[in-house]
Amino acid sequence: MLLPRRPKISLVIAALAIPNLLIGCGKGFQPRNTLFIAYGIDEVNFSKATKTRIEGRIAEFTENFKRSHPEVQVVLSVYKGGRIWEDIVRDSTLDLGPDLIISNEMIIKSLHEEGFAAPLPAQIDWDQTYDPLLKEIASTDGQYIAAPFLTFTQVACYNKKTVPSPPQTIQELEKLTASGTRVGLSLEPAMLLWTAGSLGAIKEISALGLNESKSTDTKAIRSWLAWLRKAAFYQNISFFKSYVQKDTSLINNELDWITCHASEIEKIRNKMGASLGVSALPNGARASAFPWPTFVSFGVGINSSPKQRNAAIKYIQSSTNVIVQRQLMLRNVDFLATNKHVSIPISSSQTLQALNTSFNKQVRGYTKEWPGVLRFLTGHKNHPNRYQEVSSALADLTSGYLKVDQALDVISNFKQGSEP
Amino acid sequence: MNAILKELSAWLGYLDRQAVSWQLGFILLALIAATILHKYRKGQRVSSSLDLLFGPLLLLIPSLLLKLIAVPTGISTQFGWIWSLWNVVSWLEIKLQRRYKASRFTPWLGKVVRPTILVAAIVYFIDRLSSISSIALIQIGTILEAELAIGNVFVSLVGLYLIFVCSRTIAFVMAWLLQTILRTKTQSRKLLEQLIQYLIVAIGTLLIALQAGFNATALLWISGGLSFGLGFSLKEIMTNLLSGIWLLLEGWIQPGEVLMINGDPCRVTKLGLRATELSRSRDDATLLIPNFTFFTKDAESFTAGENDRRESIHVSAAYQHEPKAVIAVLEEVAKKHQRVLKMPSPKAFAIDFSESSIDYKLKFSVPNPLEALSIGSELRQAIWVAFDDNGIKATN
Repeated sequence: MLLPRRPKISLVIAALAIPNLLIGCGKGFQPRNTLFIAYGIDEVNFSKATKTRIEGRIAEFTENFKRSHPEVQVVLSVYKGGRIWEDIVRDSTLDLGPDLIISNEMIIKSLHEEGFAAPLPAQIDWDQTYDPLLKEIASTDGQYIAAPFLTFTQVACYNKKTVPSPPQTIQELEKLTASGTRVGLSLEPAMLLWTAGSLGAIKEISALGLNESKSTDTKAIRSWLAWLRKAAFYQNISFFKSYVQKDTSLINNELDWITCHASEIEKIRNKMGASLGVSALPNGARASAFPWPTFVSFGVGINSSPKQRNAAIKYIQSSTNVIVQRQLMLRNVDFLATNKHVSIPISSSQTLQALNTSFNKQVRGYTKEWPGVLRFLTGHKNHPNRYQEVSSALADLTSGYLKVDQALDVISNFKQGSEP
Repeated sequence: MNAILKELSAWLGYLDRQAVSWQLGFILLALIAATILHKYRKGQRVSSSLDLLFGPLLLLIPSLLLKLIAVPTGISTQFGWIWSLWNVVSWLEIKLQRRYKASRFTPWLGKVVRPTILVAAIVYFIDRLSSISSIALIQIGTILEAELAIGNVFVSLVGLYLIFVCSRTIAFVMAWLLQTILRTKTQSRKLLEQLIQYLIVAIGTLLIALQAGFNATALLWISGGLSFGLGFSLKEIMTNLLSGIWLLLEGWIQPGEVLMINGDPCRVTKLGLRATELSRSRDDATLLIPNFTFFTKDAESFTAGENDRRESIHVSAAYQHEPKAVIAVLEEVAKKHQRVLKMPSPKAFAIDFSESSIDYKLKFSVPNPLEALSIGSELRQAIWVAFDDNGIKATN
């Protein structure tokens, strides 16, 4: 079969060009070393303003990294928070996954479990950076999967004009509401769990999460649920499904005291100015509150070239070292450093003082219970809808659809799964 | 614009990954091979199905096999599937065009299905290379105090395309439904169809502008300004548009009707909202007459709503022939002509006693007014022959 003249020439040209092109891509043509970083913004806050704000924060780490690696081009891609896991999986399937993932440690660990995030190199002694609690959070079977670089924790935000002195105990909070202070609580189970701490129910919750349900006493859990039910009856306590609505109500002077996440403080302060007060969450008479911390962490992608992988690790190291973390602590007051050698300048800010109390006293006080509580809320492979079930039970309890014992039945019905 | 260029140039960074660069080379190779086969096919008897299948299969089969031994082939496999889908649609289009030349469905493959595949593929790969949510937030300019982000502009362009492509079909379906429900005339349906189409375009464009972030107040100002401008600069267009609506509503002029335009009979082929299209029989020219003309100038209609035309022929016969016999011959000639209508039947009349002859008039109807001249000529020839056969002497 004879080919016409022109296709023959094309074939020869193609046969010569393609191997050269492929070799060229690999050797001759050297694209700039590019570090692709993916991060997420939750759908409610997905806007250009939020993107600019978050990228401004990441820029602080990038600037520091580029001082020692000016040749690396850093490219940021923002994903919608609820889709970041799926998007990273899809990108990685096409070998176009990010080199670095910025997300919470749970998503990074989940990506690692499915083979879409690589562990951190074992040659580096990460224990020099992180204390045992952070190690527990960032690692699986002793191997670091995530590298936390910012700690956001749960505190109380209040209007200084209407609440001159923040409540120190949950009983004081109740008294305040009786005298007219309007309180807003989140209905998200993780954000409501601080009350379980103050009411002494965390140990039972943790035991339930650690598969000890048959022998677990649920008296304290019942008391906690009864308190929530009672709170729902109070005229001045409101429960919010959306944290945006809760924050807006404080800003608009419709509420006086709310629980807030440290990542929301900057946004609220921009609107309220000096009238915003921040304090640690109120403890109970015999137990401390259980604030829910979030650790913004780096995860390593699986598609990187050796140069990109190297740049990703350097970026993590430069962002978690003592000097950079210390500088960040001095410049910002909304989060805490994760490097164990960085001390918190508590005297410089009331907010930092609150964050320090919240994390270093309240959270760390529950180090033992933390894995059980995490399991209680998020379930395991045999019980994937656990968070949704707890969420619905608490919502139904505070709306009056469920009685205390009915809600207790739902949340203590923890299916037996594999060992934690 | 700098942000877009920065984003695009950043994608070159993926070439640093061998898994990506080798797949791009492989895709390029398959594209070149498919192009060569396509050119070669023009001179040879290679079936179009083989031509369409060759490229995607060349890419897909090795990609799927290599995947089994853990060689990264995600991009080439995905590209292969999209290419296959594209070619399946092309193949379907060829088959449908061959089998059903006047199919209403075939044009949709080119107008909607293929653009959808192309846009979806581009969006998919952009989402993989970066994040479509991230790209959508890039601002490319400001119009009327509205910040134009890529996402909004893209959605607007797709929306506008769909409106202009689909508005006619949607209007047709809606008008047809209304005709079925309200049992209106076909003419009213055509009017409704055009009005609905204009409404879809107007409302759709407005919604897209609002979606893109334009301020509703600014849009009101613009529409106010435009209305003012239309009153002056587009006066004639608006006049023609309103005239068209009236013509359609009142049904004075309908497609198929024959009008006298500058002394020539012309058939109305299409009645639009702005202008009326006519076909001139003399030279087969197409005339586009602004609708307003029919309101300002006298328009002579041959047919006045009916397409058949009553014509007449004048003949004279000598006094020696009995009028009854002449009338019978004339009517017989007309009845025998194939293109003369049987109903109303041809009629002949003795209309005058001239100096040297009796004058007769033969009246007959033709189905197509534009054929009246030629039928008249044929009848005159037939009358001459019939008079000759019957020994009737025609006079002038």
